[in-house]
Amino acid sequence: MARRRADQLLPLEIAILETGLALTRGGSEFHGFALAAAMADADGSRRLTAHGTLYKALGRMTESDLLTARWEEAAIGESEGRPRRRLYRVTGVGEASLLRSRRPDVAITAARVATA
Amino acid sequence: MSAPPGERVVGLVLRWCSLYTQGLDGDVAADRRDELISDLHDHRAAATSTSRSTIGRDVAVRALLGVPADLSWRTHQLRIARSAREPEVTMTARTPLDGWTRTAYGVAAIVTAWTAVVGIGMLIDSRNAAVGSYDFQWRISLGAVGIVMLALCVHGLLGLRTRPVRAAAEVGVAAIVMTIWMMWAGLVVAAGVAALAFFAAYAVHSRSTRRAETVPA
Repeated sequence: MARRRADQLLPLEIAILETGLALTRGGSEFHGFALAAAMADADGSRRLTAHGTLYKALGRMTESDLLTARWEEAAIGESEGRPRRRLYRVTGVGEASLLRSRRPDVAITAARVATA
Repeated sequence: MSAPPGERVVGLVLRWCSLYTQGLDGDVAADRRDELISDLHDHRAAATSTSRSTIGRDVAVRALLGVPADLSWRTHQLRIARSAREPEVTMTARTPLDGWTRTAYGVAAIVTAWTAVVGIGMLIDSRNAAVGSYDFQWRISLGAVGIVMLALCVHGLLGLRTRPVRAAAEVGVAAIVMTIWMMWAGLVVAAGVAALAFFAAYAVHSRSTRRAETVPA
C-alpha cells in the first residue's frame, strides 16, 4: 500500500480542520465531542466519528502542529458538573495545510458547518 | 433509582480503554482516559429524550468502530516510547522484530482466531440445544471459557513486545485449554500442545535475552 506524503491531509483531517475552524470562529476552542457532533451535523449523518478514530487523529494532528491542545482548568468543569475537557485550536500551520489541500470534491466545507 | 442511560456500556468502554492503554506511559494513558470520560459524559448529556433509549447502542458502535484505531494508536505510542529509550537505534532504522517474536505473533494470532471461532461458535450453537440439557450446558460452559480465553489471547497479543513472558503464558494457556478437550481430534490436541511448547520456549528465550541486555558489558 502506498504511504501518503507527510504534508498530505486525510479526508478526516480535512474535516477536522474545517469543522474546527468553523467552531472556533468566535475565538473559542473546541473539544472532541463537540467536534464529532458538528462533523456529523455537517455531513448529515446521525453517526458520530468513532472514539478511537477521532482521538487518534486529534493526537496525530497535534503532534504535527496542525492543532494545539490543552486541558481546561479542572475548576471550570467542576463548576459545570462535568469532567474537564481537552480543548483544541487550529494553528496557522493547520490553516495553511487546509488551504493547500482544498479540493472541489471535499464534501464538508466550513460554510456548511457554520450554517448547520 | 435507575442508572443513567448507557451506564453499562460506558463502563465497558472505559474497561477497554484501560486494556489498550496498559503498559503505556502513565500520562499518555491518563490523557486518553480523561478525554474519553469527557466525551462519554458530553455524549450522554447531549442525548435528547428520543435518543436516550439508544444512547448505549450509539456509544457501543462508536467504541467498536474505533477499536482498530485504538490498537494502532497504542502501537504508535509504544514506538514513541521505544524510540525515546533507544534514540541511537531508532534514528537510523526501525528496530526489526526478531524471528522468535515474529513467529510468536503468528502463532498467537492463530490461537486467538481458533479461540474466537470455538468460543463464539459454541455460544451461537447453544441455541440448537434444548435449554437445560447436558448438551446446552456443555456448549454454554465451553463458550464462556472460550470468551475468557479470547480475552487472555487479546491481552497476550497486546503485551507480546512489552511483557513477552506474561504474554506467552497467557496465549499458551489459551492454546492448551481450547484444544485439550478435543481428545477425539488428535491433530488439534497436538497443535495445542505444540503451541504451548512454543510459548514456553519463547518465554525462556525472552527472559534470557532480557537478562543478557541488562547485564553490563
